[in-house]
Amino acid sequence: MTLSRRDTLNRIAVGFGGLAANSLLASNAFRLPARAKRIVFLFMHGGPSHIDLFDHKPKLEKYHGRPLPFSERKVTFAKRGNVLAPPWKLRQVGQSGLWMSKLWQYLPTVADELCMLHSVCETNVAHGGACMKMHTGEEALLRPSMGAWVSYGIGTENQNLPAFVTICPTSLHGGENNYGAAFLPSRHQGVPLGTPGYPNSTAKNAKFHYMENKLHDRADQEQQLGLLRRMHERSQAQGLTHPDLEARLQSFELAFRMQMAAPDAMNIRNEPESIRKLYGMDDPKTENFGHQCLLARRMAERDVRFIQVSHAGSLPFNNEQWDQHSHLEQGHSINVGQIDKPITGLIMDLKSRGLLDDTLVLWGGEFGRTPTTQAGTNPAGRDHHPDGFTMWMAGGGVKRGFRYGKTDEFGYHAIEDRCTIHDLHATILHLLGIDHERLTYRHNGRDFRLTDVYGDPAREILA
Amino acid sequence: MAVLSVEGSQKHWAFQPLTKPTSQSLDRIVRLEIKAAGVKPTPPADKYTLIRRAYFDLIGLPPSPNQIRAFIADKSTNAFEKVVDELLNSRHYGERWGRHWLDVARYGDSNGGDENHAFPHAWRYRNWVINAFNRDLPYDEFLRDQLAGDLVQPMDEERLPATGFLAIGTKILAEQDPVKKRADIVDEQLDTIGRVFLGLSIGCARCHDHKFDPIPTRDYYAMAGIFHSTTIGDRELTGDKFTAQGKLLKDKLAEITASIADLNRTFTRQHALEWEAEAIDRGNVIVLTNGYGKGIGIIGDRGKGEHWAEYDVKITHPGTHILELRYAAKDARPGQIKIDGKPLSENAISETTGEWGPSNQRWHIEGKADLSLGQHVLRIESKPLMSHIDKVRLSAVDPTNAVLKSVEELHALKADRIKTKAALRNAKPMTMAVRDGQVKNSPINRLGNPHDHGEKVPRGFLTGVGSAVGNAPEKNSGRLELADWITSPDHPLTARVIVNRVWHWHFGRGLVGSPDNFGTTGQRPRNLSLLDHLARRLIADKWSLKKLHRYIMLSKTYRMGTVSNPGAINGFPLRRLEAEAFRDALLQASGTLNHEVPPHSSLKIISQNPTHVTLARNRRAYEEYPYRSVYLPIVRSHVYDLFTLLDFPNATTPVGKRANTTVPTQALMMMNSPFLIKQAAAVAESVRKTKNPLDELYLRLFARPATQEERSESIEFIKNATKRKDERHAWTLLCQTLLASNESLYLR
Repeated sequence: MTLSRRDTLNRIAVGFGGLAANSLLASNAFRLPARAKRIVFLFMHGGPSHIDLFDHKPKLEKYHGRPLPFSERKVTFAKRGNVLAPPWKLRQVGQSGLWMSKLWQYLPTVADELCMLHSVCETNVAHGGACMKMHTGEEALLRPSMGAWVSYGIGTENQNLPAFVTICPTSLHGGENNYGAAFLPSRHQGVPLGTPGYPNSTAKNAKFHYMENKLHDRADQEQQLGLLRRMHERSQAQGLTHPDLEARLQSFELAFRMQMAAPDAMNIRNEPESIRKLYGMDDPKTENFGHQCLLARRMAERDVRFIQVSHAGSLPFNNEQWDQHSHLEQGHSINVGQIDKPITGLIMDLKSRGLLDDTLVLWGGEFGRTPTTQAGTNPAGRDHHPDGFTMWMAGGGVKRGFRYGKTDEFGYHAIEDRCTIHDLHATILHLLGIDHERLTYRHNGRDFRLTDVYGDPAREILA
Repeated sequence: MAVLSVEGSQKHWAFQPLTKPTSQSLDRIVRLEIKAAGVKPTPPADKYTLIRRAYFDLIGLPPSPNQIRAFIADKSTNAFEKVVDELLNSRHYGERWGRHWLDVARYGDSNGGDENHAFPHAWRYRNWVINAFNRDLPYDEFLRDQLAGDLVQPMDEERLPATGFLAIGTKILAEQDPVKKRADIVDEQLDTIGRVFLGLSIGCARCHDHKFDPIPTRDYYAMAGIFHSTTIGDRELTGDKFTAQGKLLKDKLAEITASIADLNRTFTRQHALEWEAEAIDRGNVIVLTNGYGKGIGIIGDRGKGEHWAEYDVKITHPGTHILELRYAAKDARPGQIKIDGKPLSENAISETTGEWGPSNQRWHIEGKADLSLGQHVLRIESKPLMSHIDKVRLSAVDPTNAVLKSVEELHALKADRIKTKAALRNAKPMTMAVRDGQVKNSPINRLGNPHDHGEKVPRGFLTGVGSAVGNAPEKNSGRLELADWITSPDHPLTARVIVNRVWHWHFGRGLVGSPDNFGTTGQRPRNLSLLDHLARRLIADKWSLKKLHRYIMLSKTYRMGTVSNPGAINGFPLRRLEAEAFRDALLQASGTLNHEVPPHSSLKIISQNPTHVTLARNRRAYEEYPYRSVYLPIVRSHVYDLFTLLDFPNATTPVGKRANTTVPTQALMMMNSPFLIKQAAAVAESVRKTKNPLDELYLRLFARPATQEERSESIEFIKNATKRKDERHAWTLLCQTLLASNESLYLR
């Protein structure tokens, strides 16, 4: 049998992420004009409090210390206490007048780049279900993660790096499944930078696995490749011409090249002092998350398609990073302190390099937090709250300095332009040039989508 | 795709009774098929290829060089038959084919999902599966035991672990809505049963009538009622077989305790120094002269922290000394004893005496030390709790004193006791299982919403597929009757689905290309006649899978030479080995594989809330694990990366057909994994000790001798690599290359 080039390419999935989609998928009818080429998802594990950070609700001060004046179906996790006013004032910032807590010292400088989504809703009430919903669109069954869908849909333009990289992921609440490929071909799964863990590993120690070899040098490996090639040619001559065999040989050659590309992407030694400072790498408080964000920019520059950065450590008084069931004031101060400068630096840096136009930045956690305290906590904290919370986007074809959607006057339910997780996913795919209803994969006899049978892109936010 | 009516989809081939095959011989049916395709059968495989194929296929291990030589030397006409029979009787057969089954049974040792709790007793289901294959449990009983082993009369505890099949699914543990949680668990069970035994996606009918197959929502809830009437829970096994190990351990423990007591009896002491424990020179212990210390005075702890007591001791007669402590302890509170900073022994102060009071005080030999003339510091440490220590005694002993030898023995006994106690804890025989709960019918959940109830449906089975439909009995859940319904010989799906799986696992692809989906959206069989011939034969052979293997493997079809063209039917299809076979073969080649069944339940692996440090430790534990891969714990969401890189299935859903991807991350692992390089070095070291290292290497890895060309190529390789470093390094590089090569990873 003669092996066509196309066969070989299809089998080997050239490079980490596979070829651009049109040669892998039967049809590219799902393609739309893309506004963004790539996405950086800044994931805030544990659930940041929307009403304390971005969603301004004066009623909370009025009702502080009193019960909520309405009774609602249970969307919280534990027993509800009384209304709690934000410990910090919110103020309007930038030309656009977006609301931000005083905790944010740096983010206001890029406020006019942000597009607030105030009406994200309908995730699961527990971390596990909510994290899986956020990452895979499904809270109970195993489904491909959104990064895997994106890789499957539009592949990658850099054959020497993965299409989907997740920097310092957490091992909790879905763990690998949150960047897994499930039934999609495994080449679409996210490649972790650093061992997934809880707390997650530090950026300094984050590495791709198996990218370095302390025992064998380059000459050793070249000699090994040469022998593999000769063995392969001999078996071909004997009539063993299965395309997988050829693909496998090519994968070794490619791996050999990747070993050189990956360390370069990770190497921040040559970043100038000004850039390190921009990301807060000169301050122990922001050094780690700044390093993660800087790695994200380096991945973005190299056309990695889907980049996730996880703020997913733990605090002395709460388990998951943003999960302030108690110690709201302390916890959120620490958390904002760790990310404020790095993410602001990332947005500024992307902008100054002209990358923000076609890079979508997405910020948020798996849910928000209740306007009330969680009963019996001291110092007070807030409970999980999935039915109305804030995420934001920047760059990548979204309106700048824009507010989308609304929660009620207590920040309890999303009441205008409700944006379900399916809607959010539809929007992300839309921005990346994918029609979420037409990007499908046939598995066990039916076609699957990231958005199941739901979801509408939030068209109002498109620039 | 158009939605089929129930009537329309009932005409689908897989829902029709088994057809009458075109011939009563596998080989004839295949020959006809090959002829019809206009190709020629590939000539038979040579003996080297054949023995490697049969070994990997049946037991998942390569033949040893001696086994190869014996087969080549055996010129009798039934030489291959003998090999097949030997392999079918090997304990390793169940380890290989049981693992195949675990793929579809979505086996895991932890929950995965939202909260990854460990399933400490899941391994009993795994071992039950392995044993079931080894004793050739007929498939209908194999299936029945997994659905209803607890209900089969007469009751046999050995069947209980089988029902772990229904219990090991991934659950969303933090689901806050108990009604939804229950409905989700039942859904997972139904969907699994459908895919695994019938090749049907029953789960699709949870919210609406199945769009493509004849499964109305009503039938879904008829079956759901069966599982709503079934509860999941760990069950203790009390039969002799399961407790025998525990009894042995208990006896052993009693024996050890008696021996220790013997040793503590009087021996000749010379120049004994004896003092009250409370006479400390330094320390932070508390002294009790009341209660537990009444009348004697003892030292003890303050409840938390580290506790220590030091004594300055003046030795007047140098030489070997025995140290004894007098203490009482209800529970063991081990600590350390140091003389001049040097620990005396492991597991010090670890005895128990029944109670804490003065009447329970006993002398215990703690160890020996060589002490010179003059001052020494004796230090007792214990954290956080301390035994109630009353006195300390140091006695010089004659070097010939028998007690010296006994002290050695004592240390060994104490260490043994700790191990035995741990084994005893593990030996408490629990298994994941199910039992009938409150028997009730389930209402239809409108659009799958568990809070929106329609009409209640009597418990029952599918009405559109299979034979004479009955309902479940009133008194119990109906699982046993469900199993009977599925294994009825005229059920059109059950036998077809399993023979297709067996064919798939032998040849790397099934006669039906979608082994978990025989519905209208699945693939049509390549050769229905062949499928039905095998299905009929299986039923006629009383569902014996070993007979089916034998029939398939001794056919000419199985013994044909290799074809590498994807989709070719005129030979044995080239295919890649599974991750487990690759690892086991690697460890066997390096001489580090332990072929026994591991004595303990499972490795200690962190699954819930792992840090990156514990995950790294998990990986080390996997890498150092000497037993066969099937015994490695499957921690969902954190499966051993060597496995996942080589397409180990996702353990949360039935997988009848593993993926087969070729990605550079695999190559990176093959090139750079320190574990692989270490194994390659061990292979190199071991073959270099043999008379003919290159032949040995080729026999071990490829089950054939090296050709002349390969020989000179290898010698050249080693020569060149040696120039850069040394010969040992060169051999490691060569072995690693061959291990990573296509011939090593693929089965011909």
